[in-house]
Amino acid sequence: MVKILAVILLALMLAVGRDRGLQSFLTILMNIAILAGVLFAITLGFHPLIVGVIAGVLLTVLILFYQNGYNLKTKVAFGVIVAVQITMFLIGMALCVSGHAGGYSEVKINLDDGLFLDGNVNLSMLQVEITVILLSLLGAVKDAAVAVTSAVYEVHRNNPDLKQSELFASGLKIGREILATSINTLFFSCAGESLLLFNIICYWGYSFGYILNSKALYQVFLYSGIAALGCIAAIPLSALAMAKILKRKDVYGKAKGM
Amino acid sequence: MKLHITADRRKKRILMLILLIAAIIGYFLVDHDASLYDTTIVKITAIETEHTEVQDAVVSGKENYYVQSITAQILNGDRKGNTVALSNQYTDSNVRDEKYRVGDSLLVELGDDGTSGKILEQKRDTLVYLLAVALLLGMLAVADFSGLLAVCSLALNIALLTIALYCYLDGWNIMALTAVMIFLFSMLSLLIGNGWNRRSMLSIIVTLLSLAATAAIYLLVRAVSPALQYQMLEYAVVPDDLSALFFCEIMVGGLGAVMDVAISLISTADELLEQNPHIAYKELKQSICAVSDDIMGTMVNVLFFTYICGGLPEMLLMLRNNLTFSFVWEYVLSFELVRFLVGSIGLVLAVPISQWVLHIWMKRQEGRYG
Repeated sequence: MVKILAVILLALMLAVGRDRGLQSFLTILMNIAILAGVLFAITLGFHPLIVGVIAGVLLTVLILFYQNGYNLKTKVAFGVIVAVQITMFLIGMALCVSGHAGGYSEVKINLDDGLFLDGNVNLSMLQVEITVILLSLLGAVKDAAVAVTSAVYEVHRNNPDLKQSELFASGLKIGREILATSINTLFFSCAGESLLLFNIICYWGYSFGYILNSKALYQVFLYSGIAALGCIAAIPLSALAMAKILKRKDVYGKAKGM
Repeated sequence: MKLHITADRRKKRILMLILLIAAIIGYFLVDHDASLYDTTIVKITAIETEHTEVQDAVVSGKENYYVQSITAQILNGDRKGNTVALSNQYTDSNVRDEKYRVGDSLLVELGDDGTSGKILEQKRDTLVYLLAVALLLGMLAVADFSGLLAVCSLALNIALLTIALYCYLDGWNIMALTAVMIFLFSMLSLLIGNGWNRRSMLSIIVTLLSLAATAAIYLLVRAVSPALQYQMLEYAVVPDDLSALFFCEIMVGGLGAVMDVAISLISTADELLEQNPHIAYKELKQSICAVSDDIMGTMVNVLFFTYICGGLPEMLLMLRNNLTFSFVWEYVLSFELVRFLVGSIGLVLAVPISQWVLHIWMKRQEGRYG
């Protein structure tokens, strides 16, 4: 089934996007290769967080510079993504550690999911959880950062006389439009992935108090909440960084001209 | 004009400040909400940890077992203020257990004498509140009014999802329910985001058509290929029709991405049509292609990371249990990949379908106005 669907996707991407479609498909394959590397490195006993950070940097470089080219826009976007990732990493780690979000949730334990798996794995599931949160927000943050930096760049190219604050404002305006749809995408992909979980929780008739404290729901909320927060943070940050750098470049350019 | 803007900005700053103060007050309220719970809530005051045994881990290394003797204070109910003694076993890996720390709050089922009890769950509501408030304030700060709209549509969507779940438990047909829900979800999200206008109408049409085409492709592929191991689906309960539930899951999962692509493409076309109502379809198609080239790759990436990363912990657990990669592929990875692939097919399909819908719509407009 996977193979047939993959072939259909490749055919559609080629038909719709031609070169860019092929490029997108190759990016996915490389992403899969890197994630497989992560899987095997952690299985072999390397520290999950270190593997996660290395993979995060590699994936960012790959999806950013391979898909969008190496230029001023993507260089700024790269800086923004790294800054947002570090912030979200710290926030995610704090929430993960204080909420004990690693390992199997109470729903999985009650359902005997994975009962055949031995718990003696000598691998901190908490660290794994933090790594996963770090990696899963990559796509959404990159989406927001690239969209805003290229929009600000376009505005600047068309109106070179705009001041930094005006550039920032126009970046924010475009960011707003992206934000609503990105949050929507994240919400539905999270709802779709957890539909069965929600179904069980409804079936068991969790009380409101239990819903607020359930580990299973907390894990779901952490994944999508941190990704959404990353998106939100990336928008003003990339607008500001891009506006600042474009304006500073202007000043340098004028100095050189004299 | 300039004065007006700064006054507006100041108003916004004051509003944000008020909201921030309200959020901080709310934090203290949530942090001290134990009396609202029927379940007994305790706060850990002291922990004594004892190293009990060492077992060999499956692949390599050792697994340490510990038992925590926890002393905790009851925060609510008749026995408020009393201390209880709790016991908790944990391992280094924390696969099915937790290592609690002093200061954690727990939901506890008290024994008859009230001095001992069983730990039910950690009290996480304060953390949930913090993340939710951060999201809410962030949305409002970055996106003003449209942020508020996004939050509203999110809340309505969650309400709708809850109603749908109860309808399902009530015995409604899952396929019919999925179709109705997808229709309502897309109507709601797009209308709240953009208002009642041409843009929303066309986007809704494109979204629904793309999802219908995706569903047809998926069902066709499902019919000709060997069945997935549905009983290994996460959170699967046996009596349900799992293949139908999985279908419902992937359709809802792809909905957001398809909507995103549809609204981006239709907005671009609408913008161009507004600037020049007599623009040729060819030109329109060209700019739609330029936009779709830009967003297709990134949207596919977003779906990839949100889906595939979700399965990583389970896969790692299996690999560390010496299970083969083909096992992991069959029982975890194939599900995640199917979700991702179907979602991606949906959003790629949204591109030609947008062009097609626009083409037909423009022809009809031409026919009407000559």
